[in-house]
Amino acid sequence: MLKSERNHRGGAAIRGTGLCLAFVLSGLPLGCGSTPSDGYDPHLRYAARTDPVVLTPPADQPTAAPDPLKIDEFLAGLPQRGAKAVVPSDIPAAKREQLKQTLDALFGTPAAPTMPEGIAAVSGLPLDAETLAKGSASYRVRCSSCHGTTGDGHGIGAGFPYPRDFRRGQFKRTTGIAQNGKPRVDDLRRVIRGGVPGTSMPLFDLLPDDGVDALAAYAIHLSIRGEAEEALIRGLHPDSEDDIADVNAAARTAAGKAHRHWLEAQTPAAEHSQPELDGAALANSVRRGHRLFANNACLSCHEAYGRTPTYRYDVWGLPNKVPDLTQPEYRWGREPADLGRTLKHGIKPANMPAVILKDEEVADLVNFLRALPYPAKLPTDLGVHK
Amino acid sequence: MKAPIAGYVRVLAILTLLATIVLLTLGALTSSFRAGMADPVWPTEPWFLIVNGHKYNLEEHRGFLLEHTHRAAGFTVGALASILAIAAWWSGPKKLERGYGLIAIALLLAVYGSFHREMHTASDARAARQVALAKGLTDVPPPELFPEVTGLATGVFALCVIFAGVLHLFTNQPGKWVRALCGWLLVCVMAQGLLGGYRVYLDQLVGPLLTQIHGTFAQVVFAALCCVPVLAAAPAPERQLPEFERRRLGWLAFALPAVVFVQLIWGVVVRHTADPLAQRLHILTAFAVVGLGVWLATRALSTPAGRRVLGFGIWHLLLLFAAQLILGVEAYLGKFAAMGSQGDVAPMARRITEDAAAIRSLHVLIGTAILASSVALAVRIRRRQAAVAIDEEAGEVRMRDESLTLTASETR
Repeated sequence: MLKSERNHRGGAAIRGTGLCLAFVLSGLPLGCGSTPSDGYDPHLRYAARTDPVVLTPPADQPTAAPDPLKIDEFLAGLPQRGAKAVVPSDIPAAKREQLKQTLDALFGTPAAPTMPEGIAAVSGLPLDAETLAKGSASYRVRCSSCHGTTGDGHGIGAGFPYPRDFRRGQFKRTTGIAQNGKPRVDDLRRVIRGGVPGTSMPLFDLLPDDGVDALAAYAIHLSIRGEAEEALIRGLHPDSEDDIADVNAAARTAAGKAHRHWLEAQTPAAEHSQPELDGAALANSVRRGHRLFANNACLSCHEAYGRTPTYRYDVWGLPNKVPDLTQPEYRWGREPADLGRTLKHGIKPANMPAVILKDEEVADLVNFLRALPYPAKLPTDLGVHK
Repeated sequence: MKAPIAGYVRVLAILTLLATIVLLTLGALTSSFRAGMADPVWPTEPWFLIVNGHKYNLEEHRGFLLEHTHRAAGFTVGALASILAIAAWWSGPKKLERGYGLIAIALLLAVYGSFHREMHTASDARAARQVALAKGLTDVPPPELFPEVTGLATGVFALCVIFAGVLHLFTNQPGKWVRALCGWLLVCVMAQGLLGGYRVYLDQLVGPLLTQIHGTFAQVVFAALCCVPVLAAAPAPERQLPEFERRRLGWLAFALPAVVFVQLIWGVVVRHTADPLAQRLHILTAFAVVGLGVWLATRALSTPAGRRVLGFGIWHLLLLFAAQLILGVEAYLGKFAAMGSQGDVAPMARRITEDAAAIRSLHVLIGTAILASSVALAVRIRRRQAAVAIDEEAGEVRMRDESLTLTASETR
């Protein structure tokens, strides 16, 4: 073969390859369509709830927490273990589709979240489409891997303690007077900014204020949406005594009710005041606190002050590990005000009851709990660390 | 026949390589299980798991334990890479050149240690700020994100180590490439460790971007590390390619790792984001990789010398291609095809099963192996006969200037 002929063939091959490449590459924008790389796919809808709505957890107490990757399987098995629960798949398919369409119409999509008419803000925090869209985009990058796209807390990166499931409308850190399980907007801001020590919830202390507010607004959106969905699942279930004729109206009512609860929760509860004691007075207070701890059935859950691993079902139907009070890190704060509030109001979603005690008795309990992790601060006659 | 560098350097390089495979496996699993942020605290002590491991059980804290084991493996690789760099430079025949390399490495290690300590202080300050924020106090200033003085000093001494390696290449000492490469690798391993740490520390600001850089850079470091044992091996004359063969395979040998690297970048983006372009380009570049690989294989295996010298490497690469294609299809199906309740969920948010995590992690590891193998193959193809020369009078092989090249007639 002549050299010139070889060159000609080589040139044709290169041109041919170039044309093929150009053809393939020109198809890329068509294939990519309108899917943005920095947000949700506009066609993506919120997934319908498939896990059961737990009304009453099983009577027996759990002995361990399930693998975070298997939360769905665990929840699906709860009815067999004696839990009273509403299973969404029992609802006829047509009604389920109607439910989903109604929620989509009221709450939009992950890319364009909306709120039903009449729900505009909570305590000055706007819930308008612009804020929610900003919060949703930020949530996708920072939160969805643990809290899930719908806020179910069953995200792919979920660990233990399990991330908060917003759909119940129940939160653990609440400082409002209403005690309906809803936090104040300030509580949400604090948890987002400061994280939850000792868990996988990181702090977002470097985000600007409007970034934190957008995330808080979107968490409220997911929570109200989740509550509306839960109410419809309960109402549309074949065993339900309610007869929902108008799904749209029922969803609006449920969302309105949830929003009202959010508004009611915004009034702050009175701060616990703790008298400052030292020396013998403090030691006596710690002793009284120890007696109160033992006499108020605290030990029934906090066995050996929490050193014995104990699990109790929480309001979501998941095993919650009772905290070890001898460790100095408390998730909701170790300050007297934090401890006093937790004792007076309890932690409802974790089924920790509020103690019915006088203020000075609460102060004694607080002093005992603050001394508990440190043997040197405890009077030796208590024998706690033996 | 003599190796260009002391045998213990090669042994250390292989040990580092093995530890890096463990590190990469744990890293791949950490990403597959989305456990990169399981512990938002960084840095932690190397012995964190030894002291605190008893508090965590595998069932409840798999992600946390996985991520911390990855960190522990990272510390191990860091320590081994430091020893490897010191050993490689220690083995240098000339005192002066040995001296400047070792001094640069020692200073880098010392300054990096200070940098790490300062990051610990910053992390403690951050924990204190976290407590303050939890109390509602917002006037506590955030700690330093990057200790400027020790950070800058680390950068300067890292440049010194890189420069020492470059300078060393201008000498005629045998094993100069191994020595330079080991120094550069130490810098890369340190940078990779920092990328991993800052991926946790700055997650709230940069999201998955640093994760992608961390994942991509890991491939580069591993591929470079694979070259050390190849270059440190005793060059047997019968295992050398004739010059004309080297030239024939030359550009293909370099094009393959380049395209594999581009493909890996798209793979990393697919793994950590929902980018639609990367999802397509990852597949399209896979065709290019296979095409180039097959082209190189047919060229290399078409001559007796190619078959003899490169046969194992080529067949090994083709085998990896075959495994990777199967794993790639499975990983794509596992990620993008879903039925039932998961069908309604965006692919990035779908729950992952242990099987799917294993397939994705294996896909990542085989991808890393393909890059490393293709780089090692390119090094073998392009490596000149340099390290040895045949002393015909003495009838033995002796060390000679590495820049020398044997011709085809010489190898005969």
